[in-house]
Amino acid sequence: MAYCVECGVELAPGTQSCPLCGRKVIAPKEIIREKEESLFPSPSYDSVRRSLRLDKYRQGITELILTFAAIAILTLTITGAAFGSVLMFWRPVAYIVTGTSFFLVFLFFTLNYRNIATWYSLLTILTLIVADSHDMHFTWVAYPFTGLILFYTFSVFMLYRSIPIAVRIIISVLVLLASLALFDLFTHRTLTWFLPVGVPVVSVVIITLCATFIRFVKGHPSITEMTLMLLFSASLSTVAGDFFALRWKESESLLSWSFSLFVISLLLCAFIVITMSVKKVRYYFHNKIT
Amino acid sequence: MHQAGSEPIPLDTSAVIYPPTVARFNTHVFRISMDLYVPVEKDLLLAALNALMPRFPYFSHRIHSGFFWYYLMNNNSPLEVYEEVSAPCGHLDLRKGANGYMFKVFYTEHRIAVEYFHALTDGTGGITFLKSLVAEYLRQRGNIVDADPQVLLPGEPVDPQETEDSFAKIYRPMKSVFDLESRAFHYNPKGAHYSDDHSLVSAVMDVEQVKEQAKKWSLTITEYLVCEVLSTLQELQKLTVQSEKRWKPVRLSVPVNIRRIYGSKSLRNFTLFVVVGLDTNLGTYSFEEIVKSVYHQMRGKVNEKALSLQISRNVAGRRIPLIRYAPNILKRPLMKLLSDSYGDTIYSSVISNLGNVTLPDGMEEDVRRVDFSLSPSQKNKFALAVISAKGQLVLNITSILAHNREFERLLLVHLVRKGLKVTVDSNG
Repeated sequence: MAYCVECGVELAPGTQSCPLCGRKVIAPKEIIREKEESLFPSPSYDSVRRSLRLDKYRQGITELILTFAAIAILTLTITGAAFGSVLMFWRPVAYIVTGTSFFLVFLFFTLNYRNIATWYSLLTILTLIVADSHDMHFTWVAYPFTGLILFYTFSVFMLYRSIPIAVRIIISVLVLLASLALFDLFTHRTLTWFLPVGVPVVSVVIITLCATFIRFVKGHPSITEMTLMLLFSASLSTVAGDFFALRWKESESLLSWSFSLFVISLLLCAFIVITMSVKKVRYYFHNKIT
Repeated sequence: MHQAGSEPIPLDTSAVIYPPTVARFNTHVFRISMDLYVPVEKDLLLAALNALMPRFPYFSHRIHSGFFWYYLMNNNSPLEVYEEVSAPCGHLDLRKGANGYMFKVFYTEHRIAVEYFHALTDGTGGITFLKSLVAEYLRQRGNIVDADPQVLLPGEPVDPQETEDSFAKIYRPMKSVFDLESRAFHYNPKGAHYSDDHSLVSAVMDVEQVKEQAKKWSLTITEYLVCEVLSTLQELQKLTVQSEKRWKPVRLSVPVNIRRIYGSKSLRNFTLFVVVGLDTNLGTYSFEEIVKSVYHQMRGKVNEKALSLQISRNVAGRRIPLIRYAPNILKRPLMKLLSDSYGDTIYSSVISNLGNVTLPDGMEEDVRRVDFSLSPSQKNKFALAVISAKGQLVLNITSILAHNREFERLLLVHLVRKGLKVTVDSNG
C-alpha cells in the first residue's frame, strides 16, 4: 500500500496522486499495486441526469416575487372591474410587469456589469414607453430613449472586447452623431444646430479623447493624468460649443461665457504637456502607492 | 406488479421541508450502497426489486404538489434499475428520474446502491430497504440468508407501524419557544468553483481503532467524530478568516435516530437534528475542551424530554391554521426562508452516523463494503456520512466544491495524527 508523504493517509490501490493534497505518488509498482474496482465510474459513463437550473435561494425569491406580482395584478383588475374601467388598468399592470422584471434580472442572469446594464436599459425604455403612452401618442419618450442608447453605446458596447477597438470607436462616434441629429430633429422638426455646432464640437471631443487614448496605449497613465486629460477634453469641447454656437448666430464676439473655461483648458493643456515631457515633474506629481 | 393504497398520504412532519427546498446544490438525496464479492446481474436485481416492493408499500409512492400541501399517491409505474453514476447524491428528478419513485437503484458489476429522496425515508428506512434488497438478490442467486430484524421478507405481512407517521403519533402539545440561533461559520473559499456533480472523499478506518480512540475520551464513536470535525472547522476558520472579529461559532447538525427512544418501527422519517457547536468568539478550544463541551451538549440534548419539546414544536407549527390552510404556493417560499434562517445557516455542516450494520449469515460473506453518503447544500458545502460494517468504518465526505479538498485534508490528517490508519479514495 502507498502512503501520501504529505498527509500521512494510506492510498487506495492504484492511486497515482493523493486525493487530498494532489501530491504525486512516487513508489514502485508493487507498492502502488493494481487498481481494484473504482469507487465510482468516470463521468463519461453517466447516463443523462437532469440537473436543476435554479438554486434554492433564487427559486424561492422568484416564486415570492411572482406571487406578489400576481396578487397586485389581480387586485388591480378586480378594482378596475368594480369601477367599470378595466381597460384603463393596463398601465399599472404594465408597471408591475416591468417592475417585477427588474427584480427577476438579478435572479436569472449572471450578475455582471454588462448583463445588468443591458437588461436594465431595455426595461427602463419599456417602462418609459408605457409612461408616455397615456393618450396613445408619444411625446417626450424619444429624449430618454436616445439618452439610453448613448449610455449603452459608450458604457456597455465599448466593453465588447470581441469587436476590434477601431470598429467600436467608429460605431460609437456614428451613434453619437446620429443621436445629436435626432435631438435636433425632435426639437425643431428639422436640422438646425447639428451641422454648424454639433459636428465641430464632436470633432474637438474626438481629437482630445484620441490624445488621451494614445497616452493610454503608449504607457499606463496615472489616475491624475487621466482625470486631467478628461477635464481638458470636457472644458475644450465646451469652449468649442460656445465658439461654434456664436458663429451659427453670426455674433461678432469669439467667445461669450466660456472664456474662463478656455483659459482653464489652456492651463490644463500646458500642465499635461509638461508632466508628459518632463520626467522630474511627472515624478513629483505621481500618485502611486505600495 | 406491486400494488399500494390509492389514498393520498400526507408527508410526515420532518419530510415537509424537503420538497420545497430542493435546489441545484441542495438535492436532499442520500445514498447507501453495498459492494459485493459476487457479480451483480441487472435482470436478477430487477426481479429482486419487483419481488420486494409489496413488502415496502410506502416506497411505492409518487410525490404530488397539492393546493395546500405536498402529498403522496400510489405509483404503479414499472420499476427500473440504473447503471451507476460518477457522482453520488445527484438531483433526483421526482417526475421522470426513476419513473416517479422517490428512490433510485443503481448497480455496477459488484455494487448495489440506492439513492433516496429524503422526504421518503431516513437512514434507518434506507438501510432496511437496501439490506432487504441485497438479501433478496442473494436469495435469488441461491444463497440462504438468515433472519435479521432489518431484512424484511417479500412474503411477510406488512406491519402498519412501519408506515405510520411516528411524529404525529407521539405528539403532545407543549409550550415551546422558537428561538433563533446566530449564524454559524460557513466555509467560503475565494474563487471556488461549485459543481452539482458532488466530489466524494471516502476514508476507511478500522472500527476497533476508532472505538479505542473514542473510549480514551469516554465518548461514543459519533461524539468522537463530532469533536474531530468541530476541531477541524475551528482550524479551517482560523486559516480562512483573518480577522478574529469576523469569527462565527462552528456548529454541526447531528441527526439522531429516535426510534429506540420512542419504540417506533416506522420506515418513514423519524429523525431529529441536534445542533452541537463551539462559540469560537470566546477563544480557541483545545481538544480536551471540545470533548467536554460536546459530551455535555449531546447528553443534554439527546434525551426524551428535550426531543419531545422539539417534536412538539415541529408538529405544532404545521397545525397552526394560518399555515395549515395557506396555499402551497405561499408556503413554499416560506419553507425556503425557514430552511435558510433556521436550517442551513445556523450550522457549518452535517455529520450523520448510521452506526454498525449487521449482516446475517448468507449475506455477510458476499458483502465486501457498505457505504453511506449525504448530499451537501449550497451553504454547508460538505456533508459527512459514517457507516460501519464488517469491522470497517467508512467516512464519506461529499462536497459541492469542485477543486478544493482543504476541509477533507485537515480532518483526515487530524485523524492520522491521532494514530488512526486511514485509507483514502475519491471519485476523481
